[in-house]
Amino acid sequence: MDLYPFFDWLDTSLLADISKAYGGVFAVVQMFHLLGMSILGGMVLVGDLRLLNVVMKDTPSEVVIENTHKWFGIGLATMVVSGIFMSSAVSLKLYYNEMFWAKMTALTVGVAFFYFVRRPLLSNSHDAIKPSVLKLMAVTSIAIWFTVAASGRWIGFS
Amino acid sequence: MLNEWLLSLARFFDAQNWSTQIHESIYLYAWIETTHVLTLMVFLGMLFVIDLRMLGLAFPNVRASVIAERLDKPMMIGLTLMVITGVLLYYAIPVRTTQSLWFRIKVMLFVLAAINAFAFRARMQASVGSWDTDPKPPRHIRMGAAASILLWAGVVVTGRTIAYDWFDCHKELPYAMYWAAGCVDEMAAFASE
Amino acid sequence: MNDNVEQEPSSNKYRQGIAVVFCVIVLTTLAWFWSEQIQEVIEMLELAYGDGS
Repeated sequence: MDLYPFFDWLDTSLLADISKAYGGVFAVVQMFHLLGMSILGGMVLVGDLRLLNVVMKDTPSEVVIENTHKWFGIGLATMVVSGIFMSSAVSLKLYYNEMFWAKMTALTVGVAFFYFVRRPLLSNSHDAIKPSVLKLMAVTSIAIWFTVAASGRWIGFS
Repeated sequence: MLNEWLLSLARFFDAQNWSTQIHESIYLYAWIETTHVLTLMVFLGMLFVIDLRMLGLAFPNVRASVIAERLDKPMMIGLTLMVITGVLLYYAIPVRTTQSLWFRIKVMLFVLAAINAFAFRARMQASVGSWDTDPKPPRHIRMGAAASILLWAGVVVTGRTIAYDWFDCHKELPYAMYWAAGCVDEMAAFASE
Repeated sequence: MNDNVEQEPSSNKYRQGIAVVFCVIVLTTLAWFWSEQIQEVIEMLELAYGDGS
């Protein structure tokens, strides 16, 4: 599926006119991207570190995990919206950028993992799940989101 | 006077070999900067969980004191990493950073956020027994948490805008801006016109 | 607390199996991706700071 037409359209859209013209607006939107990243990262880390028995050991892991879902979603939505805005400023450059596609792949995997694998499994009692499986999921989750963040930052350097 | 002192300190660092090494290295500056940005997920991530609990917006069924105490250590580890990488970033490009209006505002907001955090901690420890299990803490605690989020958002955005050259010393700026940003040489040139 | 496990033990085992397979695939892919990046960095550094041979 060739996405070039979408990126081409984005490059000349109204969104692109705004994001390219006003550096101040871009910076504020990027702040929301970073704050969204902090919220998403915080929720992911609290959940994963709990599954790894590193933090909040005196609170049931089911309670911790359940509580992270709402703000994970808000963080993710914030990042996607602000991300599209920022992308519109350099849309065609991104289309040809390897790191951008690495990030998008990791992001897709991360979202799919969260909503279709991790969340359904963890909605059961955690006592019924093998501890090694819980830890494997926590490590995988941290690895995916680290990759999304690192490859995301590296777009700027490539 | 403070501007002159800050600039001489910056020039002192600028002349050091390690400063140049980091600045001119192919990857080192980028890696330090990347670590600085990514560690936001640890430091601000933990801080947001705590502040959102204090606003009654997250983890309502977990004691507020438990959230604050248990997440304190990872948060401090994150903060330490951010300060270390932040200092290294300053050290690599000391003159421009010192004369960056945004960097100066960022430092001031950072100090205000730290003061707010200490005051908040004291207030929390004094009163927590009465509202620990309430999903929504009392108003003064919520105000402290809201202030915390706003101040740190300010630190983040001003950190980002350091990279823009809108108010750099080499630009034509009003005298007051030169003073605010510490453009010592440009202020002297202004005065001698 | 959820009693799903009492009612559907096999679906839980199935989900665990899927999770393990998914994690292994993802971690392997990530390990490959990062080793490629590290390889590129090493090559760049050798080019830039190499012994000039």
